[in-house]
Amino acid sequence: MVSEMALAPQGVGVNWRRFSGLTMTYLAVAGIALFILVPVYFLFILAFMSKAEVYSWPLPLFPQHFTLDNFRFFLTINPKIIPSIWRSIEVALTTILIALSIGGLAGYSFARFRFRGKNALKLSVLFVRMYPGVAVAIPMAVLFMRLGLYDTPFPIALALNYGVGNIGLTIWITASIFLGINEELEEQAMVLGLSRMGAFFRITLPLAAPGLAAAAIYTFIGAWNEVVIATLMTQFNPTLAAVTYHTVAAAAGSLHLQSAGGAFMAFPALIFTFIIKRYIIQMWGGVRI
Amino acid sequence: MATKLGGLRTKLGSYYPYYLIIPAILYYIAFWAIPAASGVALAFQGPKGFTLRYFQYVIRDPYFYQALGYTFVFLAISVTVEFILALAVALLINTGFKGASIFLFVALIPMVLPEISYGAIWATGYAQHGWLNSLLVHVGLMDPSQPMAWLAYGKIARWMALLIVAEAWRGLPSVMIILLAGLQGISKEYGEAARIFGATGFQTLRKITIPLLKPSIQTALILRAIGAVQIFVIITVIFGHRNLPVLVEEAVYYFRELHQKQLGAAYALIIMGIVVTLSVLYLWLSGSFKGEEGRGE
Amino acid sequence: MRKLFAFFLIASLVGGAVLAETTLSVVSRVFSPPEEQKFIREEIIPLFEAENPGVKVDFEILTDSEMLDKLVAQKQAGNTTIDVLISYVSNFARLVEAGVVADLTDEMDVVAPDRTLSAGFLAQGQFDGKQYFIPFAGDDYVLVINRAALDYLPAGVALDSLTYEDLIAWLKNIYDATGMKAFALPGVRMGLLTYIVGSTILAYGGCFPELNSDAAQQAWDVWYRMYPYINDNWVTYKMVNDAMLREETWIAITHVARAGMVYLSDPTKFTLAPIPFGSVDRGSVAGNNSLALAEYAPNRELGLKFIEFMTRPEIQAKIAQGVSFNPAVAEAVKYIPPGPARDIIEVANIGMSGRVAFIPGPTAEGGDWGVVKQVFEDAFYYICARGKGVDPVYLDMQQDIINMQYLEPPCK
Repeated sequence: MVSEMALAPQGVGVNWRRFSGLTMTYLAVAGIALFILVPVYFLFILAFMSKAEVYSWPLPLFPQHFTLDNFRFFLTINPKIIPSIWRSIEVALTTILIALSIGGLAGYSFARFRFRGKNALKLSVLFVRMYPGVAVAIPMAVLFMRLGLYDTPFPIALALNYGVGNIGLTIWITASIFLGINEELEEQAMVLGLSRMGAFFRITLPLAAPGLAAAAIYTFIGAWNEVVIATLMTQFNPTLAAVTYHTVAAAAGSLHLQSAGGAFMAFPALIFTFIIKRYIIQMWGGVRI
Repeated sequence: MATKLGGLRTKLGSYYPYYLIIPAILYYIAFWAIPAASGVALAFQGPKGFTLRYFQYVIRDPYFYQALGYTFVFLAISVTVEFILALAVALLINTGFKGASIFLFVALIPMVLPEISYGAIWATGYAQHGWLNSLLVHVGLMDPSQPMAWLAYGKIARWMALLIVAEAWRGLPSVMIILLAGLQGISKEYGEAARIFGATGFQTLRKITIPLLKPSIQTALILRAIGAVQIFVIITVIFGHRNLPVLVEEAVYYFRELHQKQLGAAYALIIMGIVVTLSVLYLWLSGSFKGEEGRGE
Repeated sequence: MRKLFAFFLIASLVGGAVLAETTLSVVSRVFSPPEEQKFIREEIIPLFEAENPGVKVDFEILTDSEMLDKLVAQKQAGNTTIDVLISYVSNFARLVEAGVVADLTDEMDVVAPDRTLSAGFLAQGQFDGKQYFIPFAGDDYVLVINRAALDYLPAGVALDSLTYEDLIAWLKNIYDATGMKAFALPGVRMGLLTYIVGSTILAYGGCFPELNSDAAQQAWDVWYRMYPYINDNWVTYKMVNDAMLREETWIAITHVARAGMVYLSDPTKFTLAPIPFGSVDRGSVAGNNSLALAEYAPNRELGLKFIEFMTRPEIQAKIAQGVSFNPAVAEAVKYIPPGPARDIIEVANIGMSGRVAFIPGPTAEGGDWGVVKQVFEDAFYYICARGKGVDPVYLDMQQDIINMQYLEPPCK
């Protein structure tokens, strides 16, 4: 954009090319932002309305009587909600650890090397995602129960389970990212004396960071929000998603409470995403050789 | 020590790549293959042993063909829509305009919301006295005594459109992230060189950016397609079972509501078969099978 | 970052080690609305815990399929943690078949001493002569009405003597005057539709679940003529509460607990009425919510105590006031003071005084109540939604499918 502006003809009157470029950009951005934000807006304001207001017609655009009662109710209705937040964080972080380490390694291998059976393996990674999760849910639950991992205080079983889906995704994303990173960079680094590992950590990894951050976001959000397996595999030690689901999600006639539960669940995920997004942005000014 | 990567490869023996993959493989065998196998076995388990009757049932079930049709229509339209939108957003963000980082965050929001909220938002949005109609009334585009019944029975095309809007809303960030990550790996030099040679923005996009972005596009499309084929929760929440039949929803219906586990399992296998075929077809057509290259896929 | 991680790890391990008391695990598919959950957790459970020091009750809501899946998975893995379950009659057969509930025939003195449990509900919980389920709350169907609709009531019609014909005329009045299709029908699959149509069939002298008899055909005709006034969004209504609260619709026939929830949200805006008369009498399908002990419950004695607690008349009365169910214990009514809660129960009881039928559990091998529901739903689509009208040949075919779920046809 900048270079384009610099090269634009300094002609008569308004520089149309520059003007329309920027305006178009902002228009497009505004349009898309509106499309995204309107539903979110309603989710959140429904959480701050009383039951009577939530069901009024037409729905007011802003709550007349702003109330925090729904959140209060949500937090006190079930004693397990607070501990479940910690548990969800634990699951999410553990899953990221598993997915990035195992998946990242495999992704690097796919991107850099050629070896026999590669295509078959690549497909099989994808294969896993293609099999509807619902059919595997129960046998997986039984497996973990037999391993004695049912409903543990530290939700290792859930992390292992979520790892399955996320490793595959991470492999694909990281392979795609590593492919985009010029191999010669690593070669040159090794010529200059770095070991293969060193080249990887000093050169490739920083360049791959946006992709890895993308994979991390996916993994976190997925683990944080996942509810089917979580409800199967926990009882006394649920994750936030499981507790929220059992507390408010199934409720008809309690839209204000459902929204409060959903909004509450969304907050930490939004914060994590906000942090990671900065990480992606930082890489803009990153290494360009 | 070898100076060339290729040399290093053969020197260490060709096992090095395998070492990196083994953790993943072991992991999958332990935590996925085994449970999945029992799920697969279920589809063949009749009361008297091995049987194919559940598959026969599915093939004869008229709902199956409906579900197939709807799933594919949905797949085709929604992935296209999402891709175009996501590409637009990714390109916009990549230009680095002021406020781009906030825009990035906004674009990520739909992905962040829990499933329950997602269902609740759109179910209440499309309700006759829901927020969509309320908004339209406030803006003056709708008469409060005649609110549109978006979910009225029998308007399949309308339902499909509603579903696509809701899913596009939700799926946009997933695709966008992959494309954006890919975009950022493309050196600015390419764009500048193109500019110097007088290419317009659009030409740059077509001839330079997109081909360079191909690995990311491919990843995004396939992943999104796999996700789209498996859509079901949102449909059940907004429309209920069987009103807009789609593949996984049928499987779950048999599995959960009618308690025909084998039928559900058979359905699941068929779904997987379809997705595998599609993916292989796509990959083959796009030339990914040309040798087992390290790059250029 | 690593320190943070370690901190969480330790915190959760410590948290897990703190559970030194006995925990009784109660899972329920009833009381799912958040207000009801809160009520049970704050008003009912502490009473039990007070009686049993050192005991903590873990009360969790599960859906039908979650409950079954979990119990089966736990049984297969040899590690059952659930003690007591609360379920609805449509699930009984499956739970018994899966072998996850305990036979309580010999424990009746322990779980229900000195009280009269509804005979009909008890019978629903019996399989092969063994008592598995102990009823504690019953339900039937009632009308819930937005008072705005009362202006359009046909002349000379009173709410407590409403017939289905009156209802159709009433809906027509509303439609002609306002253009609104005011009736809410829960149309989502595997929902309440079957029971509502079944109630109509009963009101015309038919049997449930028989949908091809003369009486049934009259009932189908009623729905065929009511269909033009059923709100267009009906196929997406899982429960009618949202539609009623949003005033998209003004009238609905629904399960008493749901109706109660709508009514209690604003008794000045809503009112209740007993289910309408057919040509023979009022009719209503009645279901029951029962307690059961998990077959491999880790805390058996405590579980039995809990069941006894829930069927105690005073507790029954308290529950009925909190959540609008009909108590299953006759003595409970004495303990309920007058008020909206009592009104709800009384309206429901009027319905119960007509022709009442229970849900007959499928007896054939592989028989499934879900199939019966599917048949009813398909028939509704065929006759009303697609406008084919009452077609005896079609109905006969559908009845055959229903009969296949039983060793002998459930009607006649």
